[in-house]
Amino acid sequence: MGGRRPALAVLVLVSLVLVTVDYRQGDDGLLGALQRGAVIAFAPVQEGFATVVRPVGRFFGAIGEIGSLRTDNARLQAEVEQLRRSTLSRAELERQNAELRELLGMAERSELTTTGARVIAEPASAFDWSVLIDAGADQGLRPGQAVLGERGLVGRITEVTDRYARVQLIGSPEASYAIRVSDTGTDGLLRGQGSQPLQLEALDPEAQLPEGAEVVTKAFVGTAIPDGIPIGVLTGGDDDSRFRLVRPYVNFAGLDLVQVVVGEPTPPAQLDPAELHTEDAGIRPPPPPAPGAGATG
Amino acid sequence: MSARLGVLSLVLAVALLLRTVLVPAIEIAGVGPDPVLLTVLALGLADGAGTGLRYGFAAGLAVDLLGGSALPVGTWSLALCLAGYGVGAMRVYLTGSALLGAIVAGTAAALVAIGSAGALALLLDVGGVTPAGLLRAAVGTALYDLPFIPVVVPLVAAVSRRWSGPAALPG
Repeated sequence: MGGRRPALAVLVLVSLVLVTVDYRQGDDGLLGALQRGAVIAFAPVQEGFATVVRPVGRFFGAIGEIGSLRTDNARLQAEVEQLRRSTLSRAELERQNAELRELLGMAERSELTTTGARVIAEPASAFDWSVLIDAGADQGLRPGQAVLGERGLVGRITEVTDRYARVQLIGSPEASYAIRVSDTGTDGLLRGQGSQPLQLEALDPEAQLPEGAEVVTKAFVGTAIPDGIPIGVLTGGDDDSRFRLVRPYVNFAGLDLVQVVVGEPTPPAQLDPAELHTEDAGIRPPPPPAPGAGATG
Repeated sequence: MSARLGVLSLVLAVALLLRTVLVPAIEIAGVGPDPVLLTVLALGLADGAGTGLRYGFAAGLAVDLLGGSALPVGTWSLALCLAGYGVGAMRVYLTGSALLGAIVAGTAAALVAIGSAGALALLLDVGGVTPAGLLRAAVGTALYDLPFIPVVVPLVAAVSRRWSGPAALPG
């Protein structure tokens, strides 16, 4: 037993050195490169294994979820009723929206350009909140792009190889997003908290944050996250606080197919002053002041 | 020796594949069994502290490299080498039924591995680990591993015996 102790000390020391180096260097250092190399080497095996084994896992997972499926069914039926009630008001809002757009002569925002991908590997350990997908730089993916599930935002791309990419889930404690509460227009920041619900921090301390309100992404300079992607609903928190909890729409445990937003929405055309037809619009530029003319009135 | 190394590498690769592809589908409240930890447990019990230590370090390093960037590389190699060494060291004190001993050692290994990884993350303030989340993950994994211990431990031990080498001497 005594002969093992030096080996234990050496391996513990090596581990601590690795932790220190990686902690200081971040993703750009040698260990970050080794991680990317490991992904390139192991991802094809995971991809093949996922194709064969995942249906089996889903079957056993479904058995364990029977209880929660009943609860989900009741909740979804209630949501359907609520959506039916809101259909009329939504149609009215859409009509008004179309009229206003026509009046403004503003081009419709283009549809998001996405590419599909399959989740081939999920977190390798506790405290890890990322998944691996089978699309990479060859499919136009790059870090920062948004990843969508069937019901809303899943996360953003953090690492890309030619054929694979790692997605940081919105629940990751390292994730933060600019968001807007749809019902009130309140802006805020959303942060992941691991296995806990997401945490919303409203920028305005006096903001209204009604429970059940939908939270969507807010386009922000320097990011590739499109505007208006649904994230989840406000579920509660301290009424006197500008912090609230958000339940995400996406079930991270059941991720299979996702969409990556590879084309950013086309922004409204910038107005070029040289192309302004002010006379056509009935607006005339002010005439040059006549020589010797004084102030009127 | 090279054949044994290859077989143990294969055992680790299968455990990693199960962990990343199959286990997420059967997690309950974000907690599931840990096949990698189960193989560390099995080899520590079968071959002793030396094998548990070396295999635990290699397995932890693989988890570090294949995981995201939430925790620094080295966190899981530290955690799993401690668990492997600890299991191997305690096996001489495990008397009575082999299954009961494996269950006791497995529970201790889960608490040590996840506890030490989480404690390091708490110390460095990375990964958003909270004391409550750490306790839930450690206890949850220990409990979820229990039904798999009677299957995985004898299976991996048999594989290790079949391809035994100098590293399989009692530690």
